[in-house]
Amino acid sequence: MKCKKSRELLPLILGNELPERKIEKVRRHIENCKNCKREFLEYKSVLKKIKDIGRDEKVDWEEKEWKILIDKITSQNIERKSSILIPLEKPAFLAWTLVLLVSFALIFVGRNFINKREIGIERKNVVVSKLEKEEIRSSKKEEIAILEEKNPFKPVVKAKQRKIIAKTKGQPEKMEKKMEPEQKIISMTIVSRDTGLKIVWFFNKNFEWEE
Amino acid sequence: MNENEKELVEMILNGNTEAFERLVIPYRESILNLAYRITGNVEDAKEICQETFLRAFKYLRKFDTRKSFKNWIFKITMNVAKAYVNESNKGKEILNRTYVNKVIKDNHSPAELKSILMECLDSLSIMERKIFLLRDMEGLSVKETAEILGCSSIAVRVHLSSARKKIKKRFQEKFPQWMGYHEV
Repeated sequence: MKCKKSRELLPLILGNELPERKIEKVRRHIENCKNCKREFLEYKSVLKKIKDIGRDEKVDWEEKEWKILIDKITSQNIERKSSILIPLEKPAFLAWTLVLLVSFALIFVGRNFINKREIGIERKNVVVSKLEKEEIRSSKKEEIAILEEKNPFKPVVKAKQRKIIAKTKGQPEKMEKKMEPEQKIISMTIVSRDTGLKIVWFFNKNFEWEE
Repeated sequence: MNENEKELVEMILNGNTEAFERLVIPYRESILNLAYRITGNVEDAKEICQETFLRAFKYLRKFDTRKSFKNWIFKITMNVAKAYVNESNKGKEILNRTYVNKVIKDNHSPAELKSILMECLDSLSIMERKIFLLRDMEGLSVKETAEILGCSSIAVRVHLSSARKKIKKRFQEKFPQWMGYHEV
């Protein structure tokens, strides 16, 4: 150990405030170094003197003064602990409180679990019924579409017009203006292969023959 | 905490307030001296002491009887002293005060009325002073000192080392004639 390090540790050697291993190292160094030894002895001497002075140089209460002080203090009230916290110190109360809390927690968790299961079943049912409804709807739509396709009086509605219809839902006046007029008459032409005779029949919306 | 102190605490809590004097009397001198060495003035020290005993009585129910009563009351003293020193810059006033409480005997002229101990303590910061007083003057362990002051054992060692160095330096400067030592 070097002198610099030793002198840093010297003040703590006096009261054995360092680990045993370090104390041993410093002590070994002191044995071989005159300057560090002198320094150590100076520390020791000063500390001893200070302690001696401290022992001699004491102040104390006068008895009369002390009695007055004690009377004044003991006339005060000792502060009670918070009334809320007092029952918490009793082990029986604590145990019962814990039991109650745990049981409440279990009930709460159990109820939640049951509710979730019920909700799950209901949801499944709801999903099934929704699917059924959708199926019915789609089948109906298909039927309507087939019928519409077959309907010769079906108005010719282009994609653009469909958009307009969708936008102007509930505004019949606008729709009428923008849409093409509905087909009111249909014609049927019959041509003879042999003679080349052409017969044209006109029908109205209700398939009634018109001259 | 010894059994006697435990009994006294129970007696006080059961309404026998007279037992309080018996409980604190072993510490009345050490607490007063501790406060005196921190403040450097007997009157201030008595105020701190009074507040300490008052708090100890008032909050006795909060005291954990498994722990040391001495450490508890020392902790209260340190907290009261800290508040007292911090209050309205009294710290500076206290640290710069000239102590004329004790006349040092032989070899000292009237100009050197200031106590050697107080003169040396003057060179320390408040924290160093507290640690030095608790460890070297009251003989508490490093761990107890740390517990009372609410700091780590390492912090106690660091401040203690610094305090001893400063005290030695001040002692050598001010009282070289007292510097004799015997080789061991």
